[in-house]
Amino acid sequence: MFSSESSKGGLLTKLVLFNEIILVAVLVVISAAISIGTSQFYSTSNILNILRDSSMAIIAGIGMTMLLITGEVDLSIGSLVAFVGVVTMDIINKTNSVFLGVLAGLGLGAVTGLVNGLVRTKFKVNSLIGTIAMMMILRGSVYLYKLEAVQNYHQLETFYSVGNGYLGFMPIPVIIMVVLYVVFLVILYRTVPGRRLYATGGNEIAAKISGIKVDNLKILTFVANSVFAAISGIILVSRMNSGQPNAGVGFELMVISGVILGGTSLGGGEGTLVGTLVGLLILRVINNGIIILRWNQDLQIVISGLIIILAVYIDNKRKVARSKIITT
Amino acid sequence: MKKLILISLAILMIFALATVAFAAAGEKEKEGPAGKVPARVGWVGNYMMHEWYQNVWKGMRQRAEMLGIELEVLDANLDMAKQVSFAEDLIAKGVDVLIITPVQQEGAAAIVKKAKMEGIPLIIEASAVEGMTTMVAICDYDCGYKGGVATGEYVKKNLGGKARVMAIDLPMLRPCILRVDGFMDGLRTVIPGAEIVHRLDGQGLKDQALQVSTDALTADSNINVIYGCNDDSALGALQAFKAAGLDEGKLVVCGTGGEGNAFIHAMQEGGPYKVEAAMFPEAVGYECINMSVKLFNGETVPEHYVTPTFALTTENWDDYYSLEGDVRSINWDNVNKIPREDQCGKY
Repeated sequence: MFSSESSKGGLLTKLVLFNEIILVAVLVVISAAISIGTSQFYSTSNILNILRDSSMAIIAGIGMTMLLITGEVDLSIGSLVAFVGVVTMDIINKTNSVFLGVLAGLGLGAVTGLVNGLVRTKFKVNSLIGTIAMMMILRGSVYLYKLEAVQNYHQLETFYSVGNGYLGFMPIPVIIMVVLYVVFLVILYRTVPGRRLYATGGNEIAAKISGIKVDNLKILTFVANSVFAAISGIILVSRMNSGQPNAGVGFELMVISGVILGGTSLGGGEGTLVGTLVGLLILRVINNGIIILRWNQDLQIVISGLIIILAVYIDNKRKVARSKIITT
Repeated sequence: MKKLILISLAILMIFALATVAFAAAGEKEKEGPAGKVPARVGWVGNYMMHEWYQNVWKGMRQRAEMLGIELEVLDANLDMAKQVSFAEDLIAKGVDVLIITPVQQEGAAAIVKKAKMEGIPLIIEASAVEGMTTMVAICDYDCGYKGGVATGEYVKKNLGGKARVMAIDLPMLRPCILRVDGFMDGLRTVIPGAEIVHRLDGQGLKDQALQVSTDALTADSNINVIYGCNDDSALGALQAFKAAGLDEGKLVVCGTGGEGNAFIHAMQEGGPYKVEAAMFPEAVGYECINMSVKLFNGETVPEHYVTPTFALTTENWDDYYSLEGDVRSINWDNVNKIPREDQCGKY
């Protein structure tokens, strides 16, 4: 989105303008530092573990990035992940069909997103409040549906493979993530609906005047966001091999933190999927590094918090620098 | 006429005898562990959607039904103010005995004072509160210890006598720290050189336990014992072990709690989940009602009444539980025979 501006300056300007370059540098520095502490960090198995484990957050992050670009947010995805997992496992147990189970999980995600979107656009409830309410509704509903974990009675290998299998050397969740990521990278940057997301989040009134059906676009983005979270929920339930009603606690905050770290603005109109990918990888690498370095695990929360503050600070500096470059 | 009077008398006698017999039977049924039973007992639980408390409730309900006690149950659901308000409501409604599972130990002291002022016998379930008369709770350290001994015996017999442990803890909660410490102490009575390779915070959740265990196994996968401070922790770590493609034949898993059916399923699968440091939540509920009767009768009660814990294995779990579909049933005869500690090994 900064292509026209970036052409005005040299390498230094590009570095200032492209938040992603700074983020990649941060990721490289952190990875190098951990690698100095322990050689296990850069082993193939650890890198694949990090990618497999990050894939759920990155998939949810694609939806969250698009939603934040429109100026909205969704705090209900952690509870949705739990509910989708429980429903998917239960339906597969009852029907012995992975297809029906996955369909039910994705359907639940789509309906949740639709309700979130309608509450925001038709009832005019702020999405922060509306999705907190949805978070409570979903968490309560999953306990009403099943009080205890739904075990895997079907023992279908296909389902187990979704979260735990490999295609060649690559974990299947990573492949799912890469496919979705590439498709939505193209949609976001190379299609009209993608550009409309930025226009809506940047200036909603101007977007309406220019003929964009803002409400419909937002509803669609809420639905997409929840379907992405549902896909993460299906991968998670396969990985755990049981549907846990208490799963996904704090998942939404982790995803939003990574997306913000990646440079997406909470105010809307700004953000990139590349930033989201790197932001979420940074958080995952920190968590992984602290454990394999055998540091105190409480540092995971502290360091992640500090990194987010630092990222927002750098982002603010970058915006000031950009405005100066553009005006000169 | 005379015949009619005789028949009437006979009928009356039969009716009177039947009434006396029925009343006697009723009295017998209403006899508690000793003496009279309270008519109404109230319980203000906490976070009762959790399967542990669902099973505590089940045991409480079963014992109350056996004794003919009316049981009223409310859930504070992590809200201290709500707990105080619910406790006051139950006292105002005239319950004979009150049971609470404190949301916060400091906040629950107000309920202890209120119950004393009103002369209502009060039982604390799970965690001690200042000024309380009695608490019904398990011993976390001892439970972990028993799991450690049973796991050690398995390691000695089947895994070459060396133990390298990945423990999934929840260090925010003192009971979980005690369980892990107890497990290691118990394990070392059988395997003196048992080593704790990873001690991780899995937050008591399966997805979190899975993630941290995955990372830890990258750092060092040479472990042959997994211990979880609850069942979800143990099962999450086991899932990480499986996903890492490690040899399950060289592993033993011990979970703690037995709060739901998950450990039974894991044991039935025939995999490495061989030991459960069981805490019998149903028995906690059962004993809360027994203690209610004792307090109601003015008996002297211990400050901490310890409920049973026991190391279940793949060989003996079905002596204590049976599972039909999703419904599990406890074998009261065997559970009530488990020896109990007078006090915990560590607090």
